[in-house]
Order: sequence, then C-alpha cells, then structure tokens
Amino acid sequence: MDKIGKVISILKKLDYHPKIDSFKDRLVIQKTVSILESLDIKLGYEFSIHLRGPYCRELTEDIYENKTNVENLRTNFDLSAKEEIGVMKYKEVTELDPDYLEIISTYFHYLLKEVKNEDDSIRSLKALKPHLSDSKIAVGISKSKELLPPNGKQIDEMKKEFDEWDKATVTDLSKWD
Amino acid sequence: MIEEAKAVNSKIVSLKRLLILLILRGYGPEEVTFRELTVGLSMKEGIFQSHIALLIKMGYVKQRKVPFNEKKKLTVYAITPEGEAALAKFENWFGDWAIKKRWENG
Repeated sequence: MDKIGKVISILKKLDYHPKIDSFKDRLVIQKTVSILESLDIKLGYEFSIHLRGPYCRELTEDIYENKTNVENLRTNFDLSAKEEIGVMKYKEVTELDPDYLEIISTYFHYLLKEVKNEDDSIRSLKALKPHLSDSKIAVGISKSKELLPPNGKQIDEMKKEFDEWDKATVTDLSKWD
Repeated sequence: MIEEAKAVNSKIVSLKRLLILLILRGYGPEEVTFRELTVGLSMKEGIFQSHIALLIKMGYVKQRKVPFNEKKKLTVYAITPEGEAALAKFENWFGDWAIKKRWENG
C-alpha cells in the first residue's frame, strides 16, 4: 500500500477521480507517475520503454489490486509541501491532456533516463510516436521544458542577463548622483 | 520431443502471433490499442487483423472498444490468462528443444 498510497495522494491533490476500467484514466495515472518520477518526486516504480512510451507493469497491477482505494482516493499518505508544489505545477502545465502526457513522459525518459541529448531525444520520440503531429510534439517539448528545473548552462545565461540589467540600472542611476 | 510438442498449441507458432502475445504479456493486465500494436509491430492492418482474430478465437487475447474522448473510440487488446499459459508452455518446449540442439551440436 506504501507506493500506491503515495500515488493515490497525488491523484487526490490533482483532484483526479479515476475509474479503473477506463483505459484513458489508467493511461493518465501511468504517465503522471512516470513524469513525476522524472521530476524527482520519488514513488518507487520502475519504468521501461514499451509501445506507447514508458510503462510500469507493477503500477498497473497495484492499481487493479487497490481498485476501491484508488477510485475513492482513500489513502493515509501525506505529500510534503515541496511535493505538493511539484504536483500542482505539473497539473497547471500539462492540464492532464493524454497526448501531452505521452510526449512529456517519453521525452523525459530519453533525456533523463537514457541520458540522450535534446535532439536525439526528440528524434527517438518522433520515431516511437509517428502518429503525433510535429506541432503537437513541439508544444509537448515546450511544456516539458517548463516542468524541468533550469540546468547549469541556463542558470549561467540567466545570471549573465541579470548582471547586464544590474549594470544598466547602476549606470543610469549614477547620472542622478 | 514430439510427444512434448503435442502439449503446445501449434496455432501460436507464427512469428507474428508470438510477437503479438509477447508484447501483450509485457503489459500484463493493461490494454494496448490497435494503432500501437500495428505501428509497434510494423504490421499492415489487414495482416494484423487476421492474426489477432485467430488469437481472439483461441481465447488468448480479449478485445474491446473503449471510449477515449467525446469523439473517439479505441479498439484495445489484452492477453488472457489462457494466452499467458499457452505462451509459457511454448517457451518451455522451445527452451528444452534449444538446449537439446546445443547439446547435440557440442
């Protein structure tokens, strides 16, 4: 119940009331857990690439075994404040749209788990999901980037930009001394 | 060997049908869509349909139509316990045969 209990607490926070017999609802749960694992909200499920992207059989089995608890969002597990913030940001960015969830979870798998670079990750994603349009994939990738914390290079670029703003402010103010 | 082979359902001995069963087994109780299977197996729709129809007839795969959104319905497939058992039986028989063959060839 530990691992699935935490998954239920996430569904509760998302205000998502799944029906386990619904294919779409099970897909949303699979993708949500996979994405949140990538974002360092540890749930303890191992994912590997299947036909539709990252998939964890153990999670499906746990969902079926705990069907009543999952459908009624019954759990004693409490998320930490940091986890709650992460879950709410995830909801805001993805809007739980199954197509975007498929793109984001697959992109994260290639980028973070298989440690491919950005271009190779997008190439692998397109090869796995030829039915998704380029524009849909582009929006999905941009949503993925919104979810990821900035990397070292991006932080350096931001610092550089802010330094220039700081310098400009100091120069302008100095005219009034 | 021949006697043991009788325990195996020869109708699943087709590479395409074996692949369908292997993929579905990887998903366990989860269902896989028609599109995912045809794209994933690089199989033409007609060919896929003839193979899956036989697997359904044998009781190894179940099929159903599920709503995905207001507009879309999906055809999804899942392996049955009978399908898992038949696949395991085939794997055991094939495993024994492969070991015997390797032994004979030194």
